[in-house]
Amino acid sequence: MKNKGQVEVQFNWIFILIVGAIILSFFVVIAMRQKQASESSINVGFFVNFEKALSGISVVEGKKLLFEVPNMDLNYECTQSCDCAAYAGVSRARASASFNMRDKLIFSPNKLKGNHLLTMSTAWSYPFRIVNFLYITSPEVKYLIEDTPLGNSFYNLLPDKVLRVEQTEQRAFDKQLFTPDQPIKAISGNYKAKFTFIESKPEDFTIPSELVNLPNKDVTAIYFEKTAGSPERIRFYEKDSSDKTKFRETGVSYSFGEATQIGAIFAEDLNAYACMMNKALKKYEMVARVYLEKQNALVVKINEILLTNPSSPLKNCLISYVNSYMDEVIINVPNINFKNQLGENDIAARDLTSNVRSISLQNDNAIRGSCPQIY
Amino acid sequence: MTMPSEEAVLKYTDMKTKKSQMQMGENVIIIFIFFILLIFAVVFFMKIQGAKTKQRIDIDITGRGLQIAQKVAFLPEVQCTKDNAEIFSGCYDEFSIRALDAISGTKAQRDYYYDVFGFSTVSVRKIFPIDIEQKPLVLYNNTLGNYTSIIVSNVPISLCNFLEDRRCSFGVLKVEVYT
Repeated sequence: MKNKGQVEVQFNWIFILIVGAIILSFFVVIAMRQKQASESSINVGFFVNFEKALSGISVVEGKKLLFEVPNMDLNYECTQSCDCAAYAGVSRARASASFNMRDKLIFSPNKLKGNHLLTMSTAWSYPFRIVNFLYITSPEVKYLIEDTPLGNSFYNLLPDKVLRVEQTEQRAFDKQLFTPDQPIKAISGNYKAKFTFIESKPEDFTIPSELVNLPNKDVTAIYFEKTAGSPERIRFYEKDSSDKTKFRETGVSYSFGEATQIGAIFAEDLNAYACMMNKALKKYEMVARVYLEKQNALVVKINEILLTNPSSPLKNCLISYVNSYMDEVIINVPNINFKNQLGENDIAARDLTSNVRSISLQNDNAIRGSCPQIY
Repeated sequence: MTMPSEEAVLKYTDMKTKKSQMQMGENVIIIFIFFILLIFAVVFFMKIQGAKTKQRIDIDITGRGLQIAQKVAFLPEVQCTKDNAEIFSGCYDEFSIRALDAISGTKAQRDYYYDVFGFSTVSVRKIFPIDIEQKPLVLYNNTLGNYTSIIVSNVPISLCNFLEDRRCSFGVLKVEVYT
């Protein structure tokens, strides 16, 4: 009898333990799922708001915004096939939230660390306004620009070091001018550094000792190359794996105007730059088609007016609407590829530059002759 | 002291066993009710979450309609310019609008603008001075086959003709987003 009572008490305790463990594990699982869901929801919420903010910024030229970021690993990546997306997490495959950039043209480093993100928009005009580029970076990335007259103008085009956000001044952008043969001061607390060379060649430069321990892909450089009779080029470099004090060239591409050069400064590498520029070219072709059609419509309308009023001053406008240059642009643009260019497609790029110059002259003539502008 | 009879002991043991069984049964019923209540709570919570998600999706769709309207409003290819500079936002060049209308059926145009406008129709109509003969100018048209709803945004605009009278008309930019 005594034994039976003892067994009963023991059984009760075992029963309570098992049921208790089941209930406890049930709540633990729910709590963990809820934590994951809420983290994911915060990240998705951030991307939704971020996308809305970017849409707002992308339609206004020259807009700068310092964006607060929740504590997460934020990345922006373009694959070799140019599938570009921002995501939260250590890798794109295991991202807790991701956001495809679709129609937005974003130039940004791969890793975006820190509590803030700086976003800036600039219009790309060549010669007509095509699209607004978006530049995104972290205040913890160092941008070093060679101290030359052109370098100074780039330095001034880049965002201010400090931005005022709700009555407080926040560190927004880390930029500095440098002279290649002189020591560079104040490189600390940066997880990434990008050098921009204008006159001297990156191959001849010695990387400062503060940056030697950073991963090769986090110490990069670009060189704006100008050769008479050739389209402007941008050479891309990264820290050499065998000699950590030197840069190694990774590829070359084109630049068409200031906005594209700033894009190269912000872009992670040649692939990211080329993906965005190839996408921008599609918009370029579309805008050129609209203006070609507009030129045709203007010519038809002016001819109609001249039939009733042959002495109309509009007849002087017809010369400005000769559409052969715009037609050439539409032919040239699909033949340009910004991915590693080693000279084979130079003809299309050179033709585009000269046609753009002619269109710009046509438009200036239209303005001088009080005719409707082409663009 | 007299010893209890064997019958009394058996009765007592039987009673105790029954009591334990009842206690056990009570425990099982309590746990069973507890889990049923828990399941009710979880189902209720999930229903609320589902309703919230639907509400959020509805807000997102409305927001997407407005985003598309905003994108059209700032399309550089149709905006008015003077001396290579934009005149003011909300001003559209009539010839550029007509040019976009002329190429709006082409595959190249639809392929490019699909990324920007998705399944939607974007059109411009002159309101004043009224032109009875004029049809709405369609800048983009890509209708979703089996759409469930349309979100319509109307944006007032100025439509300027810089060739003939150099005057601006009052118009409406209509954006219809299909979901």
